[in-house]
Amino acid sequence: MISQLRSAAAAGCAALLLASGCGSGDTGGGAAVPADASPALRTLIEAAQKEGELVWYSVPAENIAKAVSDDFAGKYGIKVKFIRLTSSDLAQRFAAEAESGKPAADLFVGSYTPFVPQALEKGWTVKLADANIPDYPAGFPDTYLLPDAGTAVIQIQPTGIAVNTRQGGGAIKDWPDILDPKWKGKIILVDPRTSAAYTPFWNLIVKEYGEEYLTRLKAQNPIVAAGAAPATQQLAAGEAAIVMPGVQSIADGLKSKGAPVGYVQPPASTGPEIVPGLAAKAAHPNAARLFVHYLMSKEGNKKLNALPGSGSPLDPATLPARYTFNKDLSGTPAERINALLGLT
Amino acid sequence: MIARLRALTPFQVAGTLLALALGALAVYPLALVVIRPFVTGGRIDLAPIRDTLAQPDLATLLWHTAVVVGGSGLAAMAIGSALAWVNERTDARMGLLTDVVPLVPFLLPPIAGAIGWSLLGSERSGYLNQLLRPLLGLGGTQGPIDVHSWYGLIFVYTIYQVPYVFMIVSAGLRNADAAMEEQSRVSGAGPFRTLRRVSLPAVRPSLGAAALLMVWTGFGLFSIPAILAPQAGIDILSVRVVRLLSFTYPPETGVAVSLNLVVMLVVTLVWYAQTRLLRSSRTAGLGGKGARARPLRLGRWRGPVRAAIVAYLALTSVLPLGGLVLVSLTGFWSGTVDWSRLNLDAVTRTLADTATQEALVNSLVLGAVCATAGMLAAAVVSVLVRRSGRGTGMLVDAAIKFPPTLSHLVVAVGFVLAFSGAPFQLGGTLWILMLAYVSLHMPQATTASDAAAGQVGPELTDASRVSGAGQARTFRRITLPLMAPGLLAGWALLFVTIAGDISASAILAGTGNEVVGFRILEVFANGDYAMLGAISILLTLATSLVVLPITWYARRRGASPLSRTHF
Repeated sequence: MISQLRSAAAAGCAALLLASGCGSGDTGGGAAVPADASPALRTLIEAAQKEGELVWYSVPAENIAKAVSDDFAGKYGIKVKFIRLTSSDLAQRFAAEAESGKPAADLFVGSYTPFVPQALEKGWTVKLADANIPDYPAGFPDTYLLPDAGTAVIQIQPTGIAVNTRQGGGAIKDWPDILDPKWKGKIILVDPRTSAAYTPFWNLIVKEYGEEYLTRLKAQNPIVAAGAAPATQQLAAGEAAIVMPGVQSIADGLKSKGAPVGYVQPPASTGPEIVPGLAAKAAHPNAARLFVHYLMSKEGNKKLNALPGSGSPLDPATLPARYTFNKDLSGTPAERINALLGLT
Repeated sequence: MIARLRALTPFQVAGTLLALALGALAVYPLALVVIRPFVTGGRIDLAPIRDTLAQPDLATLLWHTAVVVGGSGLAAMAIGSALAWVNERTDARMGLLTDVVPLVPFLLPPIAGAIGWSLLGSERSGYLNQLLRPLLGLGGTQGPIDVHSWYGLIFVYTIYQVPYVFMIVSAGLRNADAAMEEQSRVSGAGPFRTLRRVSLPAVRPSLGAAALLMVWTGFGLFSIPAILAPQAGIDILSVRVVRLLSFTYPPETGVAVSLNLVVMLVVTLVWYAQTRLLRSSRTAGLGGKGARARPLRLGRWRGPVRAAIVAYLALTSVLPLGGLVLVSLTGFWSGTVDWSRLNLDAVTRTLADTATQEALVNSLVLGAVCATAGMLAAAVVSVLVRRSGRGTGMLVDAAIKFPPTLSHLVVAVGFVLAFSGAPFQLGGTLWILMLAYVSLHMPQATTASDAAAGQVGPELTDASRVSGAGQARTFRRITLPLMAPGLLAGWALLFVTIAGDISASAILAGTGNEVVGFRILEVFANGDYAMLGAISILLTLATSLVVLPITWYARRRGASPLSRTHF
């Protein structure tokens, strides 16, 4: 018995060693330095290529993260690895790893939440402005720069409404339409208690329509869903006609597979604002800086914001008509929002 | 003192060191996270406790959690024990089928199970409701089932609790002398009297172990209530704790830990009761005389009992797996299934995805290695703890069993703080996952092995020692083989939960150590139910390929544990 178990354990350990040995990603082919690069950029590229690898944590969806990773790897010949996380998981993980003194990620690209300035304050990240990134801030308009938090908004994901087109959801055009009594019991409310990233959105609704909107929404008997992903799947199945707040990338993903799902972008909106954070003790600090340079360049930023549902700071036409920044939306704390919506 | 130290055998020394190491592995990472919120400026600060008592609707939260954990625990004890008894003692058993029926739903990771059930039982467009409405002649667009409800939540919890009871009680029944039951029947006692007077006392250690696991795993389940409970307005502790930890930064660790203290209190009570039970029930143990009794003939009840078992399999395994297969073939959750549009797109995408392949291999290897290491360690600890005096043994046992009652998110953060950086530098490796998995699953492992050890009567080990065998040799040759059915049952449980782990992996897995649970979370966040279904089905297939032979082997061994030791 024990000898059998022992040999099984030995075989297992051998397999374990094998498994930990693999797991490398793609390396881009061309490793050339672009001819038009400035001397500072040239130095950074060479230093980054010497490091040869980049690890980052992404809040933007997996297909977007993969597209920019592949493009960057191909352009500079640097191997790129990433994982996709929700913004609260990212904060937990990045904080714990930074505190242990061995951050696994060279940088994160995540939602701007109170975590971002705190990470800077604790010395886990460095300010982009102090990181010797060539050309920084790369022609970004001032409204997108957050100098106190040491970062800049490189992507905006405006929040909207996902609708089931077979249930007449196509009639919805703006936030107040949801309060029409005919939608009673047909609204899926994405639980605002699951992430602080929803707080600015509900502040926008309060700012635009008053707290009354939330009490009237509560009276509509919404179905509470655990997240935007299950909510939109329920919508596709016909459990309800409306998801509020809806995420365009998820709705578009289902629509492309033939689901009766549409997305509506009301003019007044806010949403997750995506910022990079450079790890102070990164294993590949130069690759991380070069990646930020890339994400803020015309070409990289366009790639990052190639799909509908994300707005680029370099192309204001991609944003809703009345977009309000998160930093201008506070005043109603999360507890108050939950209470008004009837959630404890 | 010195005389006592000299009297220690190498086996005791090695075993004690192992137990201490396991205790340290559980306590140290946790201390790094848990102590901080309670200390401000070098002083003990009880503010978190105050904040906990000020939690909104604390009473509702505790009440809701108690109803769901208690209700599902009792239901699982009844169903699991009944299934075990039918399988071990009656002629209604159907070979391997009845051996694995209760295990199959367990092979689906809880997050996939919860999604499977919401696909089936959502009021309007649940697949099951779409099927039942016309079948039962019901009009309307809703019902008759609603999985987002009290009974729905308790039902899904129960499915995930039954396997623990079944595995542990089966192992117990297999080890208990069936001849005594036969003698009871021959002496004229009816089946019910025999059950009450002979069978139940004999498996009391197993029932106690199962009850402890019910409480422990019931409070710990997170994915199921996270997906099913909000819509029903049910407030569950594990969900609230994760919310406190992850809603915003910095996390409200103090309040989260204080809430978890409630769980710890309940687990302590059950643990204490079980320890008492184990100490008081030596007489029911496995004796030196091994004879296999004939199974009880159920007569005209045999057919209905078999039908009930098959119905249970269909309800708990075939249905949720079917729901996931359907969503995977449709590409999304559709209210109306268009059979002509089904395609294998999601399956091919999953099979071609290198991250998923790598994750699957890592998870299966980690599952096998951690389950083996964990069960062997647990066996040594169980035997030593039972032998040792009350004080130290209990303390070590508590150190191993209690930390994992805290939210796994807290424990995982502790493991990062403890092992990721200097001096261990294990961040991003499979080793850190291995340490965390073993530590987090020690309660399951030691509970299973405690019950197995509790059934090994002292006559056999005494006989071995009297015949001149050392303690290590006795352990290897006598105790371990006798415990084997129980240990293998525990191994299977550990393997399955570790291979599909999501909770610790959410923090500890990454680019260098991708595991299936983490991949499922990534895919879930992307809203891709089709791929989630495909990955879950793949994982279920892979784990069943491992667990089914093990169960079969355990069964064969367990059938005559003594015939191989030649008594």
